[in-house]
Amino acid sequence: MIRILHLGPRSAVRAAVRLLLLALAVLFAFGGPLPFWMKRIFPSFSPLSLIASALAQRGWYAGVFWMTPPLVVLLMGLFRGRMFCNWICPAGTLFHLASPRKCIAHVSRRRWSGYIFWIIIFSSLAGFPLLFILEPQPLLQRDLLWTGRGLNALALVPGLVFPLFLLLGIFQPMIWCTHFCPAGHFFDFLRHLRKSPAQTFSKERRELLAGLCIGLPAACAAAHLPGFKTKNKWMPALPPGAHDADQFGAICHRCYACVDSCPTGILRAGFRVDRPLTSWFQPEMNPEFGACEEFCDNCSRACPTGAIKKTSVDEKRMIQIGIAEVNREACLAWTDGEHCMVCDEYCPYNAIETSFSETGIPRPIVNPEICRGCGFCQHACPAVRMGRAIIVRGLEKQRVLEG
Amino acid sequence: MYLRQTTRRTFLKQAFASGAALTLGPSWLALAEDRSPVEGPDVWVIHGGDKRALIGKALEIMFENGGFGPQPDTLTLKVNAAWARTPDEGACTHPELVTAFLEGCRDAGVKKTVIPENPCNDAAYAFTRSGLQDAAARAKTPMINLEKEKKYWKSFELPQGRSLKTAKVASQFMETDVLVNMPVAKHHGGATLTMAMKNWMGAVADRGWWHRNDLHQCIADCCTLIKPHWTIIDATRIMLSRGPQGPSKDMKYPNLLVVSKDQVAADSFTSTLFHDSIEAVRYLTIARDMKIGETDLAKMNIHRVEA
Repeated sequence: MIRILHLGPRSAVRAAVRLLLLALAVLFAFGGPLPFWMKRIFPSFSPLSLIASALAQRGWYAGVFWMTPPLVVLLMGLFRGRMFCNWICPAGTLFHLASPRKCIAHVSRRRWSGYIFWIIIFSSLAGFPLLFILEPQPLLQRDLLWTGRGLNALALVPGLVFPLFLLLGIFQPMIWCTHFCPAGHFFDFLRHLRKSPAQTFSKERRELLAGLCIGLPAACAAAHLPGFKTKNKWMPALPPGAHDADQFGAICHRCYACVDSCPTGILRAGFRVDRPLTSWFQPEMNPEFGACEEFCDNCSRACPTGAIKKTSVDEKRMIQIGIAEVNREACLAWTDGEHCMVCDEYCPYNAIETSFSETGIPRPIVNPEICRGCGFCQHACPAVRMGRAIIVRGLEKQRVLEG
Repeated sequence: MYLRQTTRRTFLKQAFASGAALTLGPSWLALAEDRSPVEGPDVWVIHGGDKRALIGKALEIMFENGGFGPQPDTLTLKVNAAWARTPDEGACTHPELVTAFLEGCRDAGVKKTVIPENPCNDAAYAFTRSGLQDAAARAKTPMINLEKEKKYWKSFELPQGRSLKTAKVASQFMETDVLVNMPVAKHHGGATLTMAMKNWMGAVADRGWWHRNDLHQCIADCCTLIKPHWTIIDATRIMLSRGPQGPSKDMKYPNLLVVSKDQVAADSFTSTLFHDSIEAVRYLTIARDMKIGETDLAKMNIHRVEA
């Protein structure tokens, strides 16, 4: 297998195809005048992503249009093994370009790809695809988006995986593809499975058992153990359609297509030490940078894994992702006696009610039954003395409000 | 109809004839239609269901009363395109009015028209859902999203300002041959009402500062700096509650355009569509005290016109 990969672009056709697809991946990621959902194309090519997400979500999350390419790739794997790696995968092309012909030093002799693959599969069965961040398609996109449009610095941390393996590949050529890539392992597995099912499993027994013994309990721990779940702590709101905070962090494979598609910039890569490990570097709503537009559903249309479920604009408007809270001490109206009510002014849903002071100054009160947590109030709040006087608290479980 | 041109001669004649018997109630309904002219700003109140006809009449009146000055090459129009709301919801200036006005300006020889706006919603939604992007495009006028195009901000001093001493204003509003303000009248949770004077908040960079430093005073202060040649207030439909964004169930349809050269006078008149007295709107009382414009309806020449 190493030999196949390492032979390099022997035929000019293959080299041309690979470079063209790499160029397309770069183009889609940088976007420019292209529609934002182009960023979804390459990450959604992965059949591993399709299967793991579908297992975790207990159902298909995408329509026929978005499910066809990964299914085609799946068939490709069944009959042609690593054809996807050798012809399509843009990350693979870059790894190939950076690799010398000869191995300078062995970084890892053990192949981790099987372990990673089975941990993803078994943890997905338990609802939390762990190590999903090592899915190969988002690897490259993360960095492309980061350099292209400027995702925030936190997105750089998951983005380090790709340059790290690019660097390691200089010593041990194609180390990612041969020793770490779970999707590549999936293709090998599929091809072997078709040829001799019994032999495949006996050969894979270590990886499979490790996946079972690590993946399942780890996923259960992520779901239920208090160490992973923090209770009653402030959490940021998640993009509308993320439904369940715990699962969202796991199903999201950090391609950041949503962050890049967000027109206002409220969606950003976040990081909170006090939050579960699965939520680290996930896309979160940060109203300091923008507000969730009422008639926008870009993030749900850009998401390749269904971590943000597809919603229509009308549905999205009714999803409560958080609830705003007024800090009266910081509030210009409650404490300083200013005529402000900017939160009310900006609230698209009329969730701010007015309480008049004795001197007739209007002061805001949030109606938690109407508030969606869109963050307009927080983003627009002009208070500076003690920071913003109205802050959105995210919901663990998003609610669909009645019209 | 009731369109009159007040010359000094007729003013003097009628003023002597009628004496000082002008103690009219503030409610606009109670205003006598035939009144002797007074030495104060003219306010034209144009009524009609057809928006193109309303603008047609407004332009006619404007050109009979000095128009845009000697050489109106460039015209900056300030609309209200702040919110992602449809035209019927009354949160933004009606797009039909904007198209008709811009076309009228072109016909009158204005060479370059531009609509700069610092919206509250993201421009991608505010400019499109309000229909104003299309309205401007139909009249071949660019809409500039000041939130993105920061290069236009310029600092200006406000020597007469009491709270607002300096402000960053988009240069198009200050460096133009003609400046026209075309806001929509509606309820406002913070400022009580928003009409012409408060519409300049969409022309400045740091609105938050205003809220921290006496909003009403800042609104009045800003009008000492930005003085439009004409103010046309869209009161075709007005939101009586839940402003400035709505959607409100509390709508009224006066089908009016209020046109004046004095933005304070236009606001003062329009405020009577909502309240009994201008006292309800603090920035109007401040404008009266600072003598920025006329707030006393009895001292204005209010012309009621049917379009």
